[in-house]
Formats: sequence, structure tokens, C-alpha cells
Amino acid sequence: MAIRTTKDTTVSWLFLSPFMILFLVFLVFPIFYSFYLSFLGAPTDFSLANMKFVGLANYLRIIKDCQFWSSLVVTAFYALISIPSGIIVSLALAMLLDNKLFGKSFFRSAFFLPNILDMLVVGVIWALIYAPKYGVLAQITSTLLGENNFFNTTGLLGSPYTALLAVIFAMTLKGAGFGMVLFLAALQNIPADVYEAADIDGASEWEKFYLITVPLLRPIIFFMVITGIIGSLNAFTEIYAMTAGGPQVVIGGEAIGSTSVAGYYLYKQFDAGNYGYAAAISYIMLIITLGITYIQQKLAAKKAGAKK
Amino acid sequence: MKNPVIRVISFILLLAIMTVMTFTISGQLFKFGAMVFTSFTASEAEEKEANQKIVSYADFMVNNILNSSASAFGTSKEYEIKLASFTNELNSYKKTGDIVSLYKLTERSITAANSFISEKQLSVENPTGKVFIENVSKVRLGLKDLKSPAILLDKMGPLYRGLALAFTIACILFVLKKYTDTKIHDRAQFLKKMVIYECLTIGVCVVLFPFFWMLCTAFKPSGQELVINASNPFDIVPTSPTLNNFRRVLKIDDKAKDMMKEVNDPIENKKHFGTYFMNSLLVSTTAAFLVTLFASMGAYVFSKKNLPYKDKIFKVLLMSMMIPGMMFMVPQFFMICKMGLFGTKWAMFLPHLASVFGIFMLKQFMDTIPDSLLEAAQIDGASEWQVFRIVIIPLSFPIILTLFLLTFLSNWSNFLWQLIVTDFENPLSVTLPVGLALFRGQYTSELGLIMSASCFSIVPIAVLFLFAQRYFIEGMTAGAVKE
Repeated sequence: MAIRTTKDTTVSWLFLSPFMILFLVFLVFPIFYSFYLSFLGAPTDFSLANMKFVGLANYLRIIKDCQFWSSLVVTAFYALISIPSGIIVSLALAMLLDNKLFGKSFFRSAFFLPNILDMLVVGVIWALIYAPKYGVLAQITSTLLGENNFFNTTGLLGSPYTALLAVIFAMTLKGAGFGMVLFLAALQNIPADVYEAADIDGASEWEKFYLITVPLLRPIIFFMVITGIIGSLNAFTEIYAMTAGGPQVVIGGEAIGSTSVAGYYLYKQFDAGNYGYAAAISYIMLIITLGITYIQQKLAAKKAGAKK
Repeated sequence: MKNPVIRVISFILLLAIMTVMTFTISGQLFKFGAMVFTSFTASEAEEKEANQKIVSYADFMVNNILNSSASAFGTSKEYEIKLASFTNELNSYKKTGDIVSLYKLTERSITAANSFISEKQLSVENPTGKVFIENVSKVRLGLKDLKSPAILLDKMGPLYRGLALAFTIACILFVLKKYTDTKIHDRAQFLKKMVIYECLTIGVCVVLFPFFWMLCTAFKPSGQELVINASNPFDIVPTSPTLNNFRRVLKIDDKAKDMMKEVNDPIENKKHFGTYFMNSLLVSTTAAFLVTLFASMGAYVFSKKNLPYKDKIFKVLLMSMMIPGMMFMVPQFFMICKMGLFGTKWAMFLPHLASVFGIFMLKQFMDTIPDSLLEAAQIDGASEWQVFRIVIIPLSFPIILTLFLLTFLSNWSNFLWQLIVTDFENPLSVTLPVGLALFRGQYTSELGLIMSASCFSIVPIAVLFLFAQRYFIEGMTAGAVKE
């Protein structure tokens, strides 16, 4: 294969062309197209053709849009709570499974299964579990605590204080298996003699966990943080299925959805027909994502440098 | 754990917890199996007829036969009290529509009537007695012919309970034997393992409970989704199972069939989950096939071919993976509309055919295929396409299968995009997740219907996972490990 020929190049392009055409049309072109769209207003009628050029108006509107900035804050909360809880739960499961056990692969598969099931369906099921009056949780608590309890009257998804936590709880259970498999693979790669050496030095169980296990798992934790951030910025289906952005809270005269994450707010604007505005929001979100990625890369480089 | 007394006590405690858990879980699973089996034994009409008959039999037995016998032949105080309790029970069961209890009540009232017959020495010669005896035997014969899943399930009770009990006892004996076989100084280790198993089992139950509840609720009759078994609140498997929810969701129940005969509207007739399921299947399979084909062709070039600027192009591809998917929603929607594809099946997957992740994954694998194999094929006179088809594809088949499954999965549950490009009037463009979202808006409190609709999305994927779990788990985690 060492000789580069024109024939080889032609064949290569032929093989590559179906993918490259789709890539250019559906992934590269939209980036520029979206930039163009972000300067257009909402259509005046039900067609997509009649959209006026509004210049920078969409971007100026974003700066003044409290709901957008609050949705970013909600997204940050979502990430800040869901990422650590996801890591803790999946690490705990992995450490339980990291023993010589009969039926290990059964447990591994059972925990992993919810991961591949449709997010919308899982969200709907959990919404019905949490639902006041006819949900499972309401039924159980009303037999135990009487009719007049929080789970039966308001429901976890009905209160702005608990709605986001309830969503995170459901998503943590759904996603725990994924992190567990990653941690399990990494745990099994840690050689046993490291722990034996620590035993000889008289390390306690906690010291062994904190000083050996966690540092060796750092790449996985780092990976889970990155995917967690991307997941939070892309979060939409779980919110759509469980809370629809609500319950509303009024802060400073603005009604703000207590679970309206950025992805859901973007969809709302799109659904309302503010296509230009939605395009502008997605551009801002792109910049935020790239910023976060840049910081992560810097951190990763710094850590790699420090190790050497 | 050095103290033997503490060790034994904790072993007994753990064993007790294990017994309760094993019995509850296996009991529920066996009951679930029996429940699914019995729900298939009767058609909708048979089920309905049986349910109506049971109510009327119970009513007839208690109100006519027992009461009339009391007035015609005169009775004791004891009998009166029994009669009053029967009447009370009948009214309360009729209110809740508890078929199994009504059936049992009928059986008990037949026994009461029989004892009454022998007590009063009624015989066929006596004209009043003749009618009485005939009526009782008519009901008794009628009960035998009933085709009701609820009653069949109730009759299977000893079977599934016995199985659960046998399983639990087997587990206890197994653990006891293991414990006694373990040497004294290893027993602390053994107890630790038991704790781990019990924690894991509880974890599995918590994680999978929503899905089990979904399956159970899907079989519950309409209006009874919330009835909790009073004697055991952990028993969530329905006692009177029915397939009606599935029939309604698929529009093959009698009511929908009649509607279809009257108003023959081909579009309206297709708005059911059978169509949505086929749509999802078609969209996901086509997408998965095309993605794997294009990605393996592309990956072959990036891995084995000489192409100017190959590495730079690959870097650009990888960089594009950083862009969040939400970014593409607006422009891709405009492009699909301008192409005139809005509301078609093509729109569902066309923008997602360029899978950079797929190229990355396949290239990683193809890099491990030695070049000499390709050269050997070329020397034998294979054309480029033949090399690709005969050497590359078979050698990287496991990873191609993985990519196929993952793409299938991501298109199966790609809710946001499919929601955007769905034309709600056209049932041919509605896929499962979108159909479910629509459906939930219509039947907010009909849990049974929503849950049976959810089954169409969950159960096929779960079954697929059973057979191909290795590919799913390794494929999904491969990207992470390599970084």
C-alpha cells in the first residue's frame, strides 16, 4: 500500500463519498445555515418562507431574556447534582460487584439494561410513579401516612423544590449501569499487589479507597464528568416526559420553570415558531459548550503534565 | 466477627432477610409468568361474558336461592347470620368488581345451599325442593364452563406459590450447606459475601422495579390499575389479568372493530401502536443498515488507503463530535422542510446517517487488520470492492454488528428529532416514542393503556439486549475506555 497512485485516490474518494456527502450536507452546512437563520425573525405566517432579516435583534433579546439565563442556571444545577450522584452510585455498585461472585454477569446486565431503554418511556413511567393521587408513590404513602401527605397532594414533580431532584433520581437509576461497567473494568485492571503493599504499610480500608482506588479511577471519573456535562446541556426528553419544564416559580416578576433546562427552553422557543431566536440560542449554547470543552482540555493537559 | 455468637446471630439475620427477599421476588416472578399465561387463554368476548356471568351467578345464588330457601323452609339463627354476611360481601365485591372474590362467594354459597339441602332433607320428590336443587346444580355446572383468566389464575395459585416456596427452600438449603462447608475462619468472609449479594439484589429490584410495574399495570383491567392487594402491598401482579389494554392500543378490540366497519377511514384505522411499531422498526433498521455500510466504507479508507490529507480530514471529523446535537435541530429542520420531506419516514433518519462515532469505532478496529491480508487478496486479483467485501467486512463483523445495534438503538429512541419532523395527521410518520407522547396526552389517567403502549418500545429492546448484551455493553463503553 506504500505507493500512492491516482487510481488509489479515486477509489478512496469513491468509498468515502457517501459518508462525506452526508457529512457535508447534514453536519457542516447546518452550522453555517444556522448562523444565517439566527439573523431572521419569526415567520409571519405558517410557512417557513416569510422570515424577515432582523439583524442582531435575536442576540440582543438573549441578553435581556431572564428565562434563558435561568434555564442555564437550572442546567448547571442539574449537572452539579446529577454528575456526582451518578458517579457515587455507579462506583458503589462497581465496588460491590468487584468481588468473586457467582452470577456476576447477570447483575452487570441487569443494572445495565435500563440504560438502553427509550428515555421517553422511562420518563413517562417515572412520572406515573411520582404522580399525585394515582401514582405508586402516592398509593404507598397514603396507606402508610394517610391521605394528606406531600406525595399524595402535590407529588414530587409538583413542587419546585423537589421536581429537579426527582428527575435526577430517576435518571441516576437509569444511567447507573453505564458508569458501573466503566468503573468495574477499571477496578479489575488495578493489580492486587498494590493493595497488598498498602496492607503491609498498615493502611486502613478508607485510606486504600481514597489513596489508591480513586486516583487510579480518575480517567473514568473525568470521562463521566465530561459526558455528564454534555448530557446536561442536551437534556430534553426526560424533562419533556416528566415535568414539561414546570412547576413555575416567580422570581422578580418573571415566571421561571424550575426544571426548564437549556435544551428544553430551546425546544420551547422552536415549538413556538421563534426559529431565528432558537437558532441564536443554539449558537450561544455552542459557544458555552466549546468554552467548557476548552477548559477541560486545559485541565486534562495540566494533569498529564503534572504526572510527568 | 471473631465472636462466634455474633457470627451465628448475624448469619441467622442475613438468612432471614434472604428468605423474605427470595420468597417475595420469586413469588412475584412465578405469579407474573402464570398471569401472562392465563391472560392469553380467553378472547375478549369470552372474558367479558365470563365476568358478567360470575356477577349474575353470585347475585342469583345469594339473593334468590339462599333467601328464598330461608323464607320457604324456615331457618335457624345461625343461617340468618351467614346469609347477612353473604349479602354484605356480595354488595362490596360488586362495587369493586372483584371477580375472584365473587367467584369464591358463589362457591361458598353453593356449599351452604348443599348443607341446607341435606339438613332439611329436601329431595326431588318435593316440588319446591326440586326447583331449588335444580337451580343450585345449574349454577354449579355454569361455574365449571366459565373461561375467565382471573379464575384460572386463582386456581393456579397453589402451583406458583408452591414453586416459589420450593425455590426458596432450595436456596436456604444451598446457603446452609455452603455455610457448614465453610471453614470457621472463612465464615466472616462468607457473611460479607451474603451482605454483598443482598445489597445487589435490592439494587436490582430498585433499578428494575419501574419496568416490572409497567408490565404488571399493562395487564390490569381498566379502572382497577390502582387497586392494591390489601393483604400484601408488595404483591403488584394483577389478580384478574386481561389483554384488553393491548387490544385497545392495537385497535383490535371489539369496539374499535365495530367502529372500523361503520366508518372506513384508512388513515384513522392506522393510528395504532402496531403501525407505530412497524414505522420505528423500519426507520431504525434502514438507518442502522445505511450507517454501518457508509461508515465501514469510510473507515476502510481512513484505515487502509492512501488519501491526501487523510489525517487532517479525520481530525476535522473528530472535532465535529464536540458540537452538541441540539445545535443542529433548527437548521436540519429547515433543510428537511425545504427538501419536501417533512412528515415522511426519510426525514426521521436522513440527517443522522453521517455517524462520525461509527467511523471512529470501525477505524480503531480495522487498524488491527494486517495489511498483508489485503495485499494477498490483491495479488490473487481481487478488485477494490472485493477486497472490502471479502476481507474487511467478515474480519470486522463483530464491530460492525455492534455499530448496527447501537445505531438501531439511537434511532429507536431519538425522540426530539422525530417529534419535530412528525406530521401528526399522517400515521405513517408517527414512530413509537412520538406515538406514546401523543397517546399520553389523550389518556392521562388510563395507566393500563399508557403502560401497554410503553411495552411496545421496551419489551423488544429488552429481548434484543438479552441476546446481544455483550455487543451493547462493550460497544457503548468502548469509546470511553479508549480515551
